[in-house]
Amino acid sequence: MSQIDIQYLFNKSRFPSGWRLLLVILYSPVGVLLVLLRLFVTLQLWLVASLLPDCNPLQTFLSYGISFAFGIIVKFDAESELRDKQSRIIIANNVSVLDHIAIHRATETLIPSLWELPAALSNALGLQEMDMGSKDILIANIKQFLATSTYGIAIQPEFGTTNSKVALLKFNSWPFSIETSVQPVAIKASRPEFVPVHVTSLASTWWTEVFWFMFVPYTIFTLKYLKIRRNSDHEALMREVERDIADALGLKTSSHTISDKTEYERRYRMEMILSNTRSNRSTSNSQVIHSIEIQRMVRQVSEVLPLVPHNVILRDLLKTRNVDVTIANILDGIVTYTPEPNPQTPSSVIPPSGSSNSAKDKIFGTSSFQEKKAKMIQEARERYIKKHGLTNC
Amino acid sequence: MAGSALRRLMAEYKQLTLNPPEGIIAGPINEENFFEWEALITGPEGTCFEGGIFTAKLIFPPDYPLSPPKMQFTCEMFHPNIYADGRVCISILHAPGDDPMGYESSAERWSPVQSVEKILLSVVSMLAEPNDESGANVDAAKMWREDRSEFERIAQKLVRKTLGIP
Repeated sequence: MSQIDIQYLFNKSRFPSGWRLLLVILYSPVGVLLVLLRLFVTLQLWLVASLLPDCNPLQTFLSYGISFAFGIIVKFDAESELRDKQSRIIIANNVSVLDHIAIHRATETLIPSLWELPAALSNALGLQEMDMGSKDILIANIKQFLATSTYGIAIQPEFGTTNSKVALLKFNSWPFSIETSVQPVAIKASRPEFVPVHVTSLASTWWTEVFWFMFVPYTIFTLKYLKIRRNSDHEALMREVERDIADALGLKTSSHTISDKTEYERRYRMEMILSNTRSNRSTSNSQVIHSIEIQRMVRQVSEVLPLVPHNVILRDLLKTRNVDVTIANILDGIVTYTPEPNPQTPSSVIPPSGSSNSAKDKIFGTSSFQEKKAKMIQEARERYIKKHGLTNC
Repeated sequence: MAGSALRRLMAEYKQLTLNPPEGIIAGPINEENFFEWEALITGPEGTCFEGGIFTAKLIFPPDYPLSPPKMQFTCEMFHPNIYADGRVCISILHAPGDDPMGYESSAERWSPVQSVEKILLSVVSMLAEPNDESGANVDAAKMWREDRSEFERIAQKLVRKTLGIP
């Protein structure tokens, strides 16, 4: 597992840069019309699915309708293996928020979901409603489903998308504990060259992702079945399948999990908000406000890390403009410093240490916690005495 | 494992320091050990515990936040959901409900999306509204049900004790 910086795993912008952006702009009137038409079709499909009883012709109709509504075309890779019916669990990588439609059309499998939709529509979308209260409940539900249904189950153990250019997110291992054999499928998604809009982008919502599916003329999903894998050790099975899929796609595996992605997205959003508010300020008094703002941020960081000198905090804050990022930088040892002697408790001064890692555990000053504690009790005591009109204590 | 627990605890301590909830402070007792915290909770207004500052100890497991911490009051307490030795019996501190896909799970039980702050806020509401069905302290539960005025008298005595007022 190579250490790839998490920022390379995602597209920050959905749009290309340079002259290719012009293509998207020129196409946009058509795109908007297409979105309106497709929204209308989606509404019709939903009505039809809610009103008519579930039957095979309806399923087929819905399936084609959905492919049109989201512009999804499914193809198989020329070197694809055959679908091996011995394994009823398909493991796939995650390239977009609508993978389930493509996977369902190609493989006759369903993906567990929380959505309550009319059964026919849900099946045509490739989803199967299941209780996901906990991992164990879900596994039990999947086992029960496999025992009673003709469909298989598909799981995407990344549980999140990437830009599919550098590496996969780290797989979750529980999907491999359901059965001892799984068939891996590698998925790629591409869009026409003349509307170069990326399939995913960082920190976007489900709705915007779907909007862009409807905006572009079509999205091609190319699936490639890989050889079935068997292993009774589910951790080992997970690693084998993860490597197979990564190799088939020409990607690397990474140690970043879906929660790392969520955390990174949160941080990214915060930076965006901060840079927006900054650019909105008028330039004339921005200098004054700016320095007050920075001073306030320095104080905030200093409250958490009292032993870090102010000038070190200030220098990093001028770069990051973000309290959280600066605290993380100091904790991670990206910013090195010599601890400041603490004026309140000279006896517990920590000798300056060159290594920032050893300093990491010591920079949270607890003296300020003890002070806060004493202050809190003292204030509560005074309040109580005042309230109850006590004089003799 | 302990590394990620440590990072998480540091992040939570940071959060609690930057945005402390009303009437609550919490942090590591000793900077050498981030897995033992002390928390101070102000008794909620309009209840018999009003005005008291109650101290408690939080012990975090090495696989935090997968497993919940343990919480024990270090001051004297008399409450239906607190054992005589100070241990707190409350649903948020129980049974990790593992959540496979990051969707919302039962908000009442412990899961990694909970936090020290949520625990402490739950304890505040527990002080305000005891749950007399889970009787960690049977005597307190009985008294809460049957002799509320005596319960309130004992609670007031404890409040004064925490403030060092005779």
